[in-house]
Amino acid sequence: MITVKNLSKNFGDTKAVDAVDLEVKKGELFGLLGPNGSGKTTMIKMLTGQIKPTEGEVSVLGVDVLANPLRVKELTGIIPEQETPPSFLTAEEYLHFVAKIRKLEAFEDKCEWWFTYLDFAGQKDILCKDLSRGTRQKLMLAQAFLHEPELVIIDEPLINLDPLMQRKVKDYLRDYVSKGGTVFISTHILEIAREICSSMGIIYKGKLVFSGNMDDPAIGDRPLEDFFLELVN
Amino acid sequence: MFELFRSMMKEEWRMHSAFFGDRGFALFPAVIAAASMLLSLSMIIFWRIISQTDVLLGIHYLLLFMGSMVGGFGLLGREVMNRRFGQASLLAYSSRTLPISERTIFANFIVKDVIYYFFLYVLPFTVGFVAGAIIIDMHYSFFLLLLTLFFSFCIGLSFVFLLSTIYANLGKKALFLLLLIPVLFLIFFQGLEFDVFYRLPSFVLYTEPSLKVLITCIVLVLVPSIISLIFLKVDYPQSQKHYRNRFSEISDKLDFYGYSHFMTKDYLDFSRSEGGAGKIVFSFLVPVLLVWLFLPQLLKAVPGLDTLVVFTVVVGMMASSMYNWLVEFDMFSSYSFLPLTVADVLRSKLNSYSLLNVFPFLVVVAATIYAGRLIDIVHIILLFVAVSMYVVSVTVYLTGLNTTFSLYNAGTFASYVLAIGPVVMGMIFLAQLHFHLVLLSVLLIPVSLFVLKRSFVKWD
Repeated sequence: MITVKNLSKNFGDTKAVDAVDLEVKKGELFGLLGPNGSGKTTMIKMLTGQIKPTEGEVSVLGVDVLANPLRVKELTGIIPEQETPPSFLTAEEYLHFVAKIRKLEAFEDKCEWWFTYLDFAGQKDILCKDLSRGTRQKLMLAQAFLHEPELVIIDEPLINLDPLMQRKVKDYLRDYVSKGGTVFISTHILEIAREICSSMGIIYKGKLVFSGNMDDPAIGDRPLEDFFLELVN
Repeated sequence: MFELFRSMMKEEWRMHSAFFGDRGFALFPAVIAAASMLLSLSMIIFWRIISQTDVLLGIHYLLLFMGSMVGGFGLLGREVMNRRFGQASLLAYSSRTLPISERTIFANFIVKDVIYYFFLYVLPFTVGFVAGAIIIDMHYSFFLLLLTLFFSFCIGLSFVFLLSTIYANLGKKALFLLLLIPVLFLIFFQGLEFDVFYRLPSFVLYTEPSLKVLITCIVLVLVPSIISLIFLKVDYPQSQKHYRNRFSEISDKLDFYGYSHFMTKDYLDFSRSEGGAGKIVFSFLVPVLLVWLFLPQLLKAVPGLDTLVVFTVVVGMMASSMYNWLVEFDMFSSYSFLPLTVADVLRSKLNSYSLLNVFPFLVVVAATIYAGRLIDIVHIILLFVAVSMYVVSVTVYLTGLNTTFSLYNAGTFASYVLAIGPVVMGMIFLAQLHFHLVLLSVLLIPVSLFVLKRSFVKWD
């Protein structure tokens, strides 16, 4: 689903991502872990064609991201790090707007389902600018899954959500993967990865220092936190 | 205390240089000086119809307006900041996280604004204006003018701070009533005559300097600021309004247009944002009306020019300001994760722009009929469409989706003026040679399309 070869991104003299090789297979719930500023968001932006890499190749769902970033955005669902729905549309109008951009038909029921599932039907007629951060994150989750993509790429999926909602989203992601979908998430919260991911990569100072399944022998019986700290120290 | 002030100054500079670029912004005072110098030099053409006193009055009100704009943006511009920078956290909003009182932060904020904008606006404006005046042998007292323009700026700033405090404490309706009462009082008891505008104390201080007027100016600056500080309330009343879903309904109606969903979004942004449809009245129709009223007077200074042609050109240029409204609410980052390119968003804005052009189009048609020149309607419409298209294409090419802020960059602004100025002046003077030459404006249409094509490539 995702193939990354020798991917690098420089911002001036800073190497945000440094020669990363990575493969994510269909049906995986892959977690990209790393401390703040390690290059996770830059990786996601390159995977989704939002920024161009300095060097390397990225293929998502068999599409060369560099050559056809628009096609990648058509095929995948993406949730960026900072949720930015337009200010003066209501939550419901925003989902309809996204549905129109994605040329979906009969989308109203799907939108309703998301309002109910993520428990924000009461806020669907409020302007996006007046929504709480948590509700905006729910809205961004809904827009990413609205067209039922094969692959969803999420930067910090549970950010701003309360524990009840975190549970719902984790359940949804597990279910989605069990039905054949693929999810790529980035997070710096190790518990999330331990709980829901089937495989992971650890990025530190732009370099991928580990990639493998959650039951990889290298991790062993140690808590994930110990393994992570050992790698980044 | 001083550390906070210094940090606010740094923050203000960095915020502006982030918007406009370091060098571009550093040259901004030079642009202000050049513009005020041109204004001053233009007096050589217009001195027969506008007195020196009226020009002085005008610049005092201009600085008053600038002061109120600065105050308004500083206090209420958080939404704009958040759209541009994500979740902005300026020092002015940080009393909840820093162990400093809101009052101390606000006092620093006022002093910072006064000093910062003195060097950014007031000083270069005065230097340019006085320098221009010297060239055409008109003489102003530089230091007195600097002082009175500074007072104008500070009165505007201070007044807006007071209004924001009233708004924060009493709400929008109370603010409206407080503004309405003095106007009604003047109308009913004194009559609202134009002379009232000549009583602006900072202007009077220049024309008839006295200790009494000086004290009045100081009081007008200090008292509103002190009242604002005493009754300071940082949390502005915010209501979570509920809106019926109008998106699909409008989008379906506009389906025959390309990008109907974007046009619907533009319409909803426009109608639900602060000011709503009032923006059309105050930032387009009122200025157009003023141009219509004053243009014949101004053109007495340049005999032979066709008033209707000049009016059409001016309206065509002013129409392009509607493009600013359309891009004001959007940053591409809001769409970067959707299957869209920057060119898609630009095209959608141009679709909305073409629809909004119905207003200036009707204004131009009405003006042609009013001027009794229905016979020239084809020429006038063509001129309007060509100028509007050309100006907006240059705007798109130079500024993309970031028009308001990009034009503060000295280099971009200079390119804008150079690309548009000679062309529109050329059209006006061609019309003076022979009215049918206005038809040559049709050539601007393919040029505009080419510029737009290049713009899409550039911004993608």
